[in-house]
Amino acid sequence: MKLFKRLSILLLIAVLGISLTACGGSQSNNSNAKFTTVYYYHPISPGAPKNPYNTTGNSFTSFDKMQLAWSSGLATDLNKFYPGLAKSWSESPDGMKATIELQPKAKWSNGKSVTADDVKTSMAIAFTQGTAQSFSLGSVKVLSNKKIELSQVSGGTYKSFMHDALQQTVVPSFQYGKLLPDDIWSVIDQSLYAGKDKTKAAQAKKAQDQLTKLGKSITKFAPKTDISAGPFILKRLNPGEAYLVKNKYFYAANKVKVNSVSLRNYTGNQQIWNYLIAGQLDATPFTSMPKNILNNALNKKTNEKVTTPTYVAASLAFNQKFDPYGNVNVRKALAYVIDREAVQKVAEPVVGKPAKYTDGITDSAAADWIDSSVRSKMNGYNHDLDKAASILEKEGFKKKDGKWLLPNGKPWTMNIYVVNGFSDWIQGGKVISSQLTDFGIDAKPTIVSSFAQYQADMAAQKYAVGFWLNSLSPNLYTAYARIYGTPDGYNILNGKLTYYDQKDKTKGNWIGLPEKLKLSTGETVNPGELTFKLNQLKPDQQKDAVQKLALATNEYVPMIEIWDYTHVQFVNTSRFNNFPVKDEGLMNNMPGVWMAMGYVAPKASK
Amino acid sequence: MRSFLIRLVWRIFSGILMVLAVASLTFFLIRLMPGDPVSAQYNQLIMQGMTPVQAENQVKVMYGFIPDEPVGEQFINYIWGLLHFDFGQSISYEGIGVSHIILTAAPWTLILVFTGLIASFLIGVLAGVISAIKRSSPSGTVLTVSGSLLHGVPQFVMGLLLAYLFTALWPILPFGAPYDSSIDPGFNWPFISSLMSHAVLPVVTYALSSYGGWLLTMKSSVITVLGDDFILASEIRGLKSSTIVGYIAHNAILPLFTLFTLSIGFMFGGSVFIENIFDYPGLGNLLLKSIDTRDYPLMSGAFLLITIAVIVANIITDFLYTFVDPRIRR
Repeated sequence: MKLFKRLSILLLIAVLGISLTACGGSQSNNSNAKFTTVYYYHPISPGAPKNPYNTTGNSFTSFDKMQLAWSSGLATDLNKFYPGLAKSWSESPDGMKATIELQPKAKWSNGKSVTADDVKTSMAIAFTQGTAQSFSLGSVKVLSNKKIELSQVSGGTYKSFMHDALQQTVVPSFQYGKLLPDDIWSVIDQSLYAGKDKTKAAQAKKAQDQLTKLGKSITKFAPKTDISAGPFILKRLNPGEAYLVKNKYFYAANKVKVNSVSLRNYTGNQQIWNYLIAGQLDATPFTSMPKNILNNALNKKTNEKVTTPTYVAASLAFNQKFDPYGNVNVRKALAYVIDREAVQKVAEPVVGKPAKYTDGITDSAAADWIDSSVRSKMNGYNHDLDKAASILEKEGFKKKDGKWLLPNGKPWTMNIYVVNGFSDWIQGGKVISSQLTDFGIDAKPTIVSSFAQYQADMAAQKYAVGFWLNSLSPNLYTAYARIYGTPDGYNILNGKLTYYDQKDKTKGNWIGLPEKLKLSTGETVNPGELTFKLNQLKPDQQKDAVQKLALATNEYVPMIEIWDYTHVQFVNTSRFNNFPVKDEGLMNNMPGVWMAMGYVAPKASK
Repeated sequence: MRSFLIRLVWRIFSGILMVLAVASLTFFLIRLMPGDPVSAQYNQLIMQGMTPVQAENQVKVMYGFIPDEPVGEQFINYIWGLLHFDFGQSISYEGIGVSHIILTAAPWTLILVFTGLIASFLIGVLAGVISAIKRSSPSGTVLTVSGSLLHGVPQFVMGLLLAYLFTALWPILPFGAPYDSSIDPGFNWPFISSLMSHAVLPVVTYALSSYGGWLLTMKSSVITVLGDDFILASEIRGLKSSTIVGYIAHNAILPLFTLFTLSIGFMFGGSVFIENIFDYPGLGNLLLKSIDTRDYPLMSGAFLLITIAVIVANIITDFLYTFVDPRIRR
């Protein structure tokens, strides 16, 4: 027993010693403190190549993976960018050409200059990854060592050409150029042929296959060293974190006050909450959280909450092939039954606010896109049970013993599908079920085991009612494609819009709205075509189409918007200060961009 | 000796057949899961802000890592690859070999589970002997109650509790990485202490969750042995109590020996909840992620490793048992 006691004491001392050693390292408060945050784009995996084209490669956006410029992500000012490797940029009046001037002092971490040739090589690689085609890039012309001109493909109509071009990753030509054949631009030219000449079309197909094959080999490429033109360079990593140190050759190295960065891996929100509550993160990206976690996080006095709008909303969506959800008035009645404020208070109390309108986009985005004249035509579907009852009665529904019966006399029951692990959807499903049941519709949430299964079942038209994330992006095309894209049967094939009716169960049309919708203004619109058109309009030309889509969504209610997410981030001021909390566009970017712009400085040693 | 060798060869042969049978079964089972890696990846890219067209193009490039031949052909290629120790390439870890990913994760699981297993086994067995011998005294009762309590607490509850106590309430222990990446790995004290401090919480969680099981099993086994005639005979002959305790322990540990060696086999399954709570980068975490992204090759590889480990542990247990307990040899 004595031995046992001694062993216990020794073990305790060892644990305390180790703990204190660990604390000493992580809690240091001086100019050498490493800036710690979570990297949320992909897992950190030893063995993955240090290659930005590999989706899990150990290359980290804004730190050692650089773009020409960084988008502000603001819905109303999509063309607001912060400089990256590009110092300045301009667009021709017709939007067909973009001229980009590189930072004169831009260098790679081995001291070599970043040149226009590097950008040209990167654009060629973008063709092998399929990204250049998505913004209609046609050709690249080197104007000087630091100046380059990008042109759209002949006949291109893509209006976000420069916007997308600026967000391309730039890699060193001396490292990646050898992966491309000498005739890469001839192959690219051939691949872009879209005419009817059979021989040329066959050549184009062959060239496209060659590009895809090249793409695969490029994503596998594993450079021996990390060559960065960003503010940091990867020093080492383990499966839990990546450690980067300042790149002395960075063009704005004098602005970067942070000497090292630790990027934490994470597998779920729980880990981020733990890091946040423990005060380990100097910057915490957006993560959904319940109220008690928020309170615990704010108990740490140095954690500061920063809230900015997002463009993501949670909705209750309907598959209109199921009775009675094909009836637009039933959907409207349900919108009146649901008390959105009560749902949001329980489901997403911290990073959500109740949606004011069902219009396909968040209220913060709509404030800038939707004029008051159009807004006045929209219905807010404010909680009104009498109105809901009156609509249902008009549609032939009857209430018996407190329960609504369908027009055919059968009881009305509803399963609301939600996903396991999506705590906000589950809570939301419970509250909505309770509200509907109180109203007289037997509703209950049904939890699906995984998001993968949920999406597959949704596309296969297995659910009548379920939760859906709509909007998703400040890009209005992406936002409305969440409704009037594949979910409503509209797909883009070879650059052309194709519609698949809901009768074809294999094409993912699970909403099933009619193709033509007559609006209260008297105009008839095709929402899929209007959404597709957004892709070809400049932001300042999109307003008319956006307003029509918003009105169509409000009048035909393919889904009821329940809450908008808010972008809640945290910064911790115990080790660093001067965070860009007042610059919404900058806060939408990773901390590497903040640091490159001169923000974030270590606090003086105590 | 000849019969031993024949038995050994036969067990190895049947073990290989078993591995192939399980590998075949899991190959088809995982493909029956709803969802597929392409749509999982497509949706992930959309969530990251790509437009649908960009995401589609990106997935097309990635599609090269996903076999698109008929399932029958894929199966033949898979088995053929296995026979050549080729586990294929991961889908979610684009273009990286499955064996490489598994071998990277395996050491962390071994550190966690092996240390936790040894600690819980040694402490549990010792406490089990004491609680059995002193079962009428307060110390015996305390030990038994502690075992019962800890045995009843699920791993994930224990993990969450320790995580809350030592990372949130009193944030004295690190978590989320196997060691501090700013320290040079090697045989130096800063690295070793960092490695140990990062492993404390997951290892202690594992050890505490397993300790109760060992204690209760050992106690029950010791009590059974205490009633055997040879113990009475030893006492009558006036042998020293330490000698008698030795006899008791030797006989009582036999059932635990089987459990222990089998646990070593199951060790490769990782400890999914613990690794997930502390974001410890082992096989359990890897398995969860591969299921989430429908990474078929990685799932197959992880399941296969667990299968092989359990079958090998079974064979070793069988043979070692004959040495530990001579009665089996008869």
